[in-house]
Amino acid sequence: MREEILEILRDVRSDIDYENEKAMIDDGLLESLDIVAIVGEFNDAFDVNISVDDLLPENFNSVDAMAELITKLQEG
Amino acid sequence: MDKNRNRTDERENRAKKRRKRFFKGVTFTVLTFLMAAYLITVFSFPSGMEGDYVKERYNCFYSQEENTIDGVYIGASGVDRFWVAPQAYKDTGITVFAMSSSSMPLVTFKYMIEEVRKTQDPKVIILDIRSAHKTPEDVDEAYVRRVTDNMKLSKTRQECVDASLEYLRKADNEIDEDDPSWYFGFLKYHSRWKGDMQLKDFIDLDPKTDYMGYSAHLTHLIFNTAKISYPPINEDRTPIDPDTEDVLRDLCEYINTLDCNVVFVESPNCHSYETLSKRNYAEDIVRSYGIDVISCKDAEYAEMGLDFETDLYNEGHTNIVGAIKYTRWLANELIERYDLPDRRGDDKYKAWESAYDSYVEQTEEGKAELEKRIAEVKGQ
Amino acid sequence: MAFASLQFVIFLLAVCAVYFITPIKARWAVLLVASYAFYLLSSPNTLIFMVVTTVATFLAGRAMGKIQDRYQKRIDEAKEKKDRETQKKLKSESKAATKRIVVGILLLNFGILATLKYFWYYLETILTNAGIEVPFDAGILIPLGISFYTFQSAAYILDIYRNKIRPDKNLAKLALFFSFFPIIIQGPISRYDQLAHQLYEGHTFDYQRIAFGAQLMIWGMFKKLVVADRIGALVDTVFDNPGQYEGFTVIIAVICYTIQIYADFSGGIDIARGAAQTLGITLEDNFKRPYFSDSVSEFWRRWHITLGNWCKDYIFFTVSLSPTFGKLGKKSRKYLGDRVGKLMPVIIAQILVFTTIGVWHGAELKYIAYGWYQAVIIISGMLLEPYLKKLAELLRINTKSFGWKVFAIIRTFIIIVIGRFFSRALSFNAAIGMFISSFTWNPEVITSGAIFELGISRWDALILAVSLVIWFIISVFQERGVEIREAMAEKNVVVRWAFYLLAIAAVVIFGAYGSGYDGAEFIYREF
Repeated sequence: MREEILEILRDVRSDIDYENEKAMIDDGLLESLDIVAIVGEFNDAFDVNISVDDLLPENFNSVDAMAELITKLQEG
Repeated sequence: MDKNRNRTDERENRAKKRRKRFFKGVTFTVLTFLMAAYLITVFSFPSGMEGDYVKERYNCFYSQEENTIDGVYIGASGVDRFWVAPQAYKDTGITVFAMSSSSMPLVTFKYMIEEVRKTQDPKVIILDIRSAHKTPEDVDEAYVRRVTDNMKLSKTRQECVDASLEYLRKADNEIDEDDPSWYFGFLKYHSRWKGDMQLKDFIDLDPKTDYMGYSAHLTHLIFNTAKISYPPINEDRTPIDPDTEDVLRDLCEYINTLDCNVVFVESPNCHSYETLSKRNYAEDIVRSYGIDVISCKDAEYAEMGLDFETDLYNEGHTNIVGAIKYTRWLANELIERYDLPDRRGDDKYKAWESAYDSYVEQTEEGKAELEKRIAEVKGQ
Repeated sequence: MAFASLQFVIFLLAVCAVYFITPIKARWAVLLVASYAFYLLSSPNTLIFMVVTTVATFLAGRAMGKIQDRYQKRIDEAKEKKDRETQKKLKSESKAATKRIVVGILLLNFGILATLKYFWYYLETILTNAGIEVPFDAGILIPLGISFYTFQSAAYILDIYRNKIRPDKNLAKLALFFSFFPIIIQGPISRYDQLAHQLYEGHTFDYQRIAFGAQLMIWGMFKKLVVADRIGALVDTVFDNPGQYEGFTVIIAVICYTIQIYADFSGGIDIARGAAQTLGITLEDNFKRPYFSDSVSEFWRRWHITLGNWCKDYIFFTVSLSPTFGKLGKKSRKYLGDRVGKLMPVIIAQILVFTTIGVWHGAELKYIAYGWYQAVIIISGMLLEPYLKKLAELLRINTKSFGWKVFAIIRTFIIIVIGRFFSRALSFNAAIGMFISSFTWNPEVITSGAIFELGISRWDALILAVSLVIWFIISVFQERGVEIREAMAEKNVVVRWAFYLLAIAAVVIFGAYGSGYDGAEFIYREF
């Protein structure tokens, strides 16, 4: 899953070092447009329904956080 | 054992730090207040020519020792171009201060009397009646501010502002009555930074002229002579502006509550016939309250030895030669009527000695030249 | 009570004194009393409206919390039983039940806002245009800070709805959160999870923190009194008399307004943040050197940041991530192609956001035009992005170079300045008229000195120039990450105390306040 996530991220924004960044929301690296695009792709790729309620910094600050969120949503 | 010592050490350090910060805070606050006091003093009513040296005159008055002034002469320029206070002292020993400001509005007189009596106990108060012919339209905000912005902050100043604003309201002008700068001048005068400040404003925090009120600093005026026509004989009366009349009557009522002598004077001038008639009318009102009036007419001019062709620099004001004549004559009048004491030789009044010295130093040369020119004119 | 005034300083000193004497646990109550006192001193007739919103929001939050608690119990039971279906059903039921309350309270609060701020104004306009005399003053009933506390309370409710926070159980404490006096005048629009606990915890006396707060307030007063109030005189002369001026005069006026609005707004925010800091509370910053932005999108991340964040969290994401708009996106992909189709929800969201931003400023057409102007620029940028990229490649422009950055900043600044016509002109028509009139070539208004007759003298211009240079240098340092106040604190005490004292002196001497002085009135002309 991690690889797929990274592919999607790099497709949306190619200029961020996703492996090392741990505060992509808090530091303002990802903009709202990026988030919308990423969420759209995640919803399609992993068959989940990421809603506005899930848009917390702790869910998107790092690749691992995003993986956790998707897993949680997949498990219901 | 060691742990306890470390704990007490820590506590001591924290207490020391707290004390240090407390002192820092207090010191900075004190510095801020000092700076504020300095700025308020500096950015105030202008000194020098721009403020017509009124500030310096008031500072001179406030700096006098209490109860050393036996007479105060209040009014507009009909006072400080005429009353050579240091000369009067030199000749007769009377200490009469010229507490005036240019175009001093009649409505402020009452409060000036109150103000001077706070620190002085004059035996006589001389009031210049020349302002009585003015109307509210004639009075500008600046004329009032010359008086109120140089008075010390007090209830008297507040009442003076209120009364002046009430008087000015009658003229329907656009003065902002709620402007707090009437009491806190800095709010207005801080704007003087736009090119109005000079180095001396920052250095001399208590500018003073040392002539006990006489305008010896106006060297471009008091050493001039102009041929003025002799004022016509005038026994007519023309009513003055009703608002001004109210003010005059209020002033007279106030005077009658005082326990010191008060006399109104009109110093020599050749203003218009109508103006002179209005002043006659005003003098009648004053007399009707039982208050003394000294009106300068032919007899008085002769007594003074005043020559309208040489002793004035314009139709309203005497030059230094004319002023000295007026001063000597008025001094005699005051001594005769009010028994003013001779303060020469009394150490308490040495400020007047030094005032005379300053006055001589300031005017000796100019006066001598003026006298020469007058002699030439007379010779022709 | 105005921020940049001696009264506010004295008020704050009094509040600080009482605050730090009060026992720690009760310090929040001091803030509450102070905030309501401040409101009564500023806008007593309209206090009732804030109270109504506060109480209603409190009750709505509590009701929602109770519903969520009840459902949560049942959800936990289902979780134990590993019954995912029931869990999902209960979760959506909980959402639906609380949604009803959300809709109700938002309608109430925004209804009050719409009526007080907009309805009376419209009524006044209609009556005036019909020639009927208006028996009321539409402006008088607008409560202080109504836009700010209404938006803040909406965020509170929506955060509860989204299970991000739990409702406050204490009405008095919640009342403090909505009425806190530093933010009631012009924000920043604060979030419950960021601000509330700071307000409720008592803070200890901290000399350094208080000093920093005071310094920030002085900086804010400098921007407001020395820059904004001074430059505003020229802005008022030109904008309040549309049609009388053209060409360079208009251009200078609109640039001056761009500076004025930034100085006034950010200065006020600095005073608010500095005041809060003395009491131990950190408010979010509302400005991050907005005129250094290299695109209009970035500008709205640096200007009125808390409003932008509010719109982002509660409008933009709600719309662009909602399933309804997701379906719309899929549909439009068919007709408009993949890229544009995916952007459709975002475009609609942006339109809604900037309509909100426009209307936030006021009910008039010019404000809506202001908002949509920004939206058009941003949306065009989004749609044209790949083409512009190709164009840059073709022209061999290095978009990462410093030169390009400077170009982008200037380009963005010009776009923003043009937008300012709409927010300051007296009406939409006046704005268009003034914009067109600016295309006249008349440099003589500068060379002849006529420009100095519009409210700013040469002296004023000199002080403005010096102030703006200082501000620019400070901004550059801040952009590089330098914390100005910390950096000053490291200099030796004589240097920095001299600096602080001079700063205070500069504010009180050069501030554009008071009745002004005209030497000509004072000189005595012998008579």
